[in-house]
Amino acid sequence: MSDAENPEGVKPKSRKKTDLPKGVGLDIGTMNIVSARRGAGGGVESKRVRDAFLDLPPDSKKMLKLSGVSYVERADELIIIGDPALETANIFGREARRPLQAGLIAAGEGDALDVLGLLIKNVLGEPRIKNEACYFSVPAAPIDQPDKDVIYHQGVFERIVKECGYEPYASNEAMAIIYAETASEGFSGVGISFGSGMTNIALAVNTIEGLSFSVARGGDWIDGGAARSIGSTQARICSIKEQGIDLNSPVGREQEAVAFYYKNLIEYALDQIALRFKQIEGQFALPRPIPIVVSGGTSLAGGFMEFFEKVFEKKRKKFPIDVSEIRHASEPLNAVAYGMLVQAMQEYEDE
Amino acid sequence: MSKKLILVCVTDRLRLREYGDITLEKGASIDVPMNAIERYPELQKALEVGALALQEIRTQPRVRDTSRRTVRKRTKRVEASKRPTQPTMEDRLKDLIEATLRSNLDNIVQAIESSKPQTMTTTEPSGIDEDTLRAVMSEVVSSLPAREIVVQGTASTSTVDSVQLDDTPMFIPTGIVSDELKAEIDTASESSKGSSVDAATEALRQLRKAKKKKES
Repeated sequence: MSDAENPEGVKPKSRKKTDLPKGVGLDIGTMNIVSARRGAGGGVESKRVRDAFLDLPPDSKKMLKLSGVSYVERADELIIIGDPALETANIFGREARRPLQAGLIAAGEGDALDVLGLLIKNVLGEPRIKNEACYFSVPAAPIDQPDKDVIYHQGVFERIVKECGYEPYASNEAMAIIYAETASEGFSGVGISFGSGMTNIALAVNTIEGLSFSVARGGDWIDGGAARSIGSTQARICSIKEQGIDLNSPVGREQEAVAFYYKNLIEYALDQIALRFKQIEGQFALPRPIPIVVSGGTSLAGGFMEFFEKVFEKKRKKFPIDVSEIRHASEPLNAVAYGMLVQAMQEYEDE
Repeated sequence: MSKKLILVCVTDRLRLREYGDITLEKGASIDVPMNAIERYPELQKALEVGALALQEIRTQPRVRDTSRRTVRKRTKRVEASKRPTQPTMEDRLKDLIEATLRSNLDNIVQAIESSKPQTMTTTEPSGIDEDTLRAVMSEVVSSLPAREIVVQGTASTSTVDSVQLDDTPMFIPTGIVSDELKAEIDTASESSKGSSVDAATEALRQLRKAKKKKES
């Protein structure tokens, strides 16, 4: 705008970066990394990237350029990151590498750290202020794999988030579902995140966490189990799932196998909730019936909620928690990131 | 031929006033007849709280020696000969001790403290120092395999696994996010109204305000 058009010399109002709502939520999953933050217009902006990469020899550069796939050059290799990694892996007849295995980063995976750094940097973007609060998800320790190291996992992501210019706050993954989805119940409920690598569970009353744990079973466990049982491959089972499957009326042996392992996973999760809750029953009273909120990518299979309710109804009589309702998170892939965002925004409530 | 138990002292020092007024150092052991556990409540209590541990059960009669020097000798001999003897009884007693200890350290101490006046009036003082017992119990509980201990924190109760009790420092590398390594990564961006986030943020704010008011 020229001075002629603006005779009073008043600069047009532009929102400074620091005026924008502050706080970011970050969901670090085995399959996806999702960030959520408030936009300038009041809505919520989320960014999602596939948590996968593929390393290729340098002589693949020409082919990648021709196909328009973006890559990163590192030492003696080319790395493709995110969704293109999965697509390119198929072309090369390879399996894309996953930085996280069963929900956690494995100690000693040096390559994976660099990739995770890149992924998170891209998903988070620049902080709006120096050391902007970033709540990121960490799973609870898996009860069925005590050798898995949650402490190292948390430490690595704290470092990455910090190096991206944010102040990191680690927060339980399943509790994020409680924060995002149970405001009308006073932040009371059971949150279950059916992820790819693991299933995270938390129970809370009025934001107070009563119980939290994870089981090292999720979408990958379903794929692996179904593949082994019918002599197929995990990738094949995964593609059957992604093509669409109705768990309540599976067609063919492959779909039946998938439905069988889904049922087994749900039963296992519910049994563990019942068992763990009985251990703390005397110390943690539930004043009223609470909802079960289900989230996560593995819960996106066709007919999952109906299937879940059927399994639950068989167990309801002996289930030690009085359940008011079973419902799906409003956005199952974003619920954890939203829950993290809600917590992050509380850091700026006094401003 | 009556069965005998070998009890090992796991605390630094333990005085058994009722049972011959003997003092045991850590690692020392004594042979006691099976029925002595019932006859001497202090033995039972010492077993319950973990000040004494059951080493083994013998069917052969042994001469009890309460002197410290010989007790030390015997400990060595017992450790060298770990022969299996009636595992069922031993297992039962071990399970009893383990279960009692695991249930809750504070509850045990509280129970001892609450039973103190009664003990004082009905029996002679046991001679077991409570602070020592507390220390011993802490040690024993921490050495137990932490399968799923329910921990009551300030605001939450969560299950933890033994892996988290390892205090070995973990090295986390620096410079993970490198400025040199740059890439344009395809991210799926979405924008939503965010009404659920708004509602949750507001509800959480109100809840925290109410809590603050209550506290003040």
